[in-house]
Amino acid sequence: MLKVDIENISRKDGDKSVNVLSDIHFTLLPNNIYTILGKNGSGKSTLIKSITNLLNKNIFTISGKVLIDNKDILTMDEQSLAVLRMNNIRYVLQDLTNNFDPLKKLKYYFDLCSTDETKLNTLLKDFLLPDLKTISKLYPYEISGGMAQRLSFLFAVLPNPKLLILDEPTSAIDYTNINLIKLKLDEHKANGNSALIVTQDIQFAKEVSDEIAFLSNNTLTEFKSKDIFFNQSEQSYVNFLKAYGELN
Amino acid sequence: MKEVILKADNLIYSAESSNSVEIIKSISIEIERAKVIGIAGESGSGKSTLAKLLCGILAPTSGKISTNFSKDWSKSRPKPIQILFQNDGNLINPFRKVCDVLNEAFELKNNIKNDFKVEIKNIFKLFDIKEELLNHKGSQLSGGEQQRIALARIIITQPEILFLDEPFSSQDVEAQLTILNLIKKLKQEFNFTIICISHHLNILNNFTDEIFIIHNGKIVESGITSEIILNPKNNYTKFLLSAQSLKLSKEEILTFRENYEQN
Repeated sequence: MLKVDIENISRKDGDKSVNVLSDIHFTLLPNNIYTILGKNGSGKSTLIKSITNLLNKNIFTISGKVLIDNKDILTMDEQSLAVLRMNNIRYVLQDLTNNFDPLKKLKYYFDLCSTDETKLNTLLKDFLLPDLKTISKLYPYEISGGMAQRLSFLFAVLPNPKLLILDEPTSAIDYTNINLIKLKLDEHKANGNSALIVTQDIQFAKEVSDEIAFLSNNTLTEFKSKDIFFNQSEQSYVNFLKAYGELN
Repeated sequence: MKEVILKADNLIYSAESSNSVEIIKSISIEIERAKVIGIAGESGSGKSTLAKLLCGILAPTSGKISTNFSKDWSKSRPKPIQILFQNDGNLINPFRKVCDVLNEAFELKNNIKNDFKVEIKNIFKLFDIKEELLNHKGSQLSGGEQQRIALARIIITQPEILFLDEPFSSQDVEAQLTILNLIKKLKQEFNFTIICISHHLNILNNFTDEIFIIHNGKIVESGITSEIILNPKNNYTKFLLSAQSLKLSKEEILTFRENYEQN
């Protein structure tokens, strides 16, 4: 479905060019949930943004290819990219309340979904959010970070995209809601779709993923089935897993 | 004998603007000196509001908070209760150098300039902070570094009660472990009373003596942490613990919430 072959991503720093990520190669298939684990600042968010060319071109340079249905996303024109991001590859980024325009009531976003009211209300109820009538009247700054996170997730999953890309989807919510997100992801997968998640929430990764890879030292390990990932921990992430063990 | 350092009687708090919806509904607690206390609950349960009330940042709508400190703090600038706020990446002034930030805390505490270099070395050793950070500005620190500097700043002022609001959120596991070990060290080396807010029941079980479970502005269960985690009596606590496994079905979650909210 999606084939990523990125040789190098570099970032401008004054006159210098700093290497951010190298040798990122992976293929995503339908019906799978993929997770990339990694420490703060390891480049997880940069990696997922590069997939649909979302990085600021004045600062970042990418060399490589990202193929979807044999078309290279990195050389696509803006219009095709917009269509791709609208229908096939949807994101939930980390900057929660800023995912929404602060001057628009949430009604604006609900009106953009071509989904009937009953279905929207069911979805809102599934995510323990207020009903459509109540929530539509609110401005984005009137909802909490946790609500914004669930709402962004709901909007992203609604058009049934082939690939859902989630950046730290559990950072602002409690376990009850993480449970609900996990269930929705299971459903998304059952519909024949896939998701790529970057997170440092190991427990969530364990419960939700089919395959896991670890990002460190500017590069990504191979994706492995989760049982193999957790049982044969490599040098690059042995400390990460050990810290998790000591915490819980 | 049990020495209570902080006591709250029938605390009620309602936000003025929101048609007097009660965020905290009659909470009474007693906190013993030198104990490490956990406050756990879901988002929106009132955890942070309770902390702000207990610290005196918010005034309760009704109810009484009494304290029993070991000395008279009325003339002192850094107050006896200090709070480490949730880490949103803005804990340290981005334009100020770490050494200035910490020096200010020393000056506030002593009113004179002590031998900064010696004292700072001890603090850095305790917190496992690299000395070259002293010349960094707030904006150059990672989230985990900011949190440790902010905590160091608080410790310098030697409070009697230390509040930690979600100290484990937005951190990777290695940074979480560093903070956990630091809290354990503070517990051993100083006689602090520590109150930690978190929704990670497993992590709280690692270092707290007692725990309060909050739901909808009320304490639904409290007691010795390990006993509650092992053998919860309240249905809501049971639900929270089972939710941690991330193995609940949608029906289980919705049914529980409907039944519980009705009672």
